[in-house]
Amino acid sequence: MSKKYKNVSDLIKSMDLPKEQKQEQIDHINSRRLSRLLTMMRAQKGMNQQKAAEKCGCTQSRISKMEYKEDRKLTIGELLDYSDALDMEMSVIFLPKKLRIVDHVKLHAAQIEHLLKRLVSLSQGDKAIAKAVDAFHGECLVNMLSIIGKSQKSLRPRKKQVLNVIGPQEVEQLIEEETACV
Amino acid sequence: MWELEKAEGFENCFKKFSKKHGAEAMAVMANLETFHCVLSETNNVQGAKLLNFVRKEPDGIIALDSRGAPKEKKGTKLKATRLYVYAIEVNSTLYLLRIGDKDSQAQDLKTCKKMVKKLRGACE
Repeated sequence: MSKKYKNVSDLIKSMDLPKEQKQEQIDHINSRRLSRLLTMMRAQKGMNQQKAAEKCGCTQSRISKMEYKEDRKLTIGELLDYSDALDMEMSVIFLPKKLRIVDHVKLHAAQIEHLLKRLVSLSQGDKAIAKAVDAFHGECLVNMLSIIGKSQKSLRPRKKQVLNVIGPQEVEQLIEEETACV
Repeated sequence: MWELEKAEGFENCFKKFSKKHGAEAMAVMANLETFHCVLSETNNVQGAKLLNFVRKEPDGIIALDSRGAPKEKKGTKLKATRLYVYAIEVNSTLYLLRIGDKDSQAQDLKTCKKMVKKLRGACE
C-alpha cells in the first residue's frame, strides 16, 4: 500500500503523469469549488436533489446542472435560489488576494467586535435584553479564551511523564538494601 | 478527515485510461473530490452514496461515474466511465481501486472484489 493523501489534487500531483495533464486535471477540480460547496451543503442537510428542487421551485435537472457548473458560469440568481432551497442566506465577501491566515483571524476578530457593538446598541433601553447581552459577553469571553488557550497549548511540546513502577515488597526491600550498600 | 490511498496497480491503470480518455478521467476525478469532501464533512458513507454520480456495486464497492465531463469535441463520444473506490471507516480511508469504462466493467469488478478481500483482511 502507498502513501495517504488529504485531497485529490495532492494525489494527482503524486502520480507519474505528464505535467500538463496533471495541471489540467487540477485546474478542472479547482474550477468547480463553488458548485462542490453547493453539493456539500445539500448533503449536510441530508437532502436529495429532488427535495432541493421542490423547495427551490425548479426541476431536479436544474439543481443537477448547478452542481456540475463551473464556478464562472454560475449566476448570482442560481446561487440565491439554491441557498433559498437549503434555508440559508447567501452573503458575498470581497477579500484582497493572498490574504494570510493571520489576516483572516484579524478579520474575524473585527467582525466579532462589530457584532458585539450591534448587540450592545440593541440592548439600550431594555434591561432584560441588556442582562442577556451581558451574560452573552461573559460566554464569549470564556469561549474565546478557551479556543486561543487550546491552540497555544498545542504549540508547546508535551512534558515527558515519569512512570513510577512499584514492585512487590520483597523486591522493593532488596533494591533499598542494594542502594544502601552502594 | 478522510484520506485517500491508491490501491496496488491503480496508478498504472489510471495512467493508461487517462491517455485515451482524458476528459472522462478529469470528470471522474472532480467527482471523486466532491465525494471525498462530502465524506470528510459528514463522516457518513451511506449519506455520501446518495450523491447522484455514485453507483453501489457488490461487496461495498462504490463506483463514481463521469457525470459533468467537459463537452465532447466534434466526432468524439465520451465513454461511460467508472472509478471504483472502497471506503474503510475504521481508518477513515478511501481506497482507489480501479478506473475503467463499460467494456471493462465485468473484469474491473472482478479485480476490485479481490482487492477488497485483501483490504478487509489487512484491516481485521
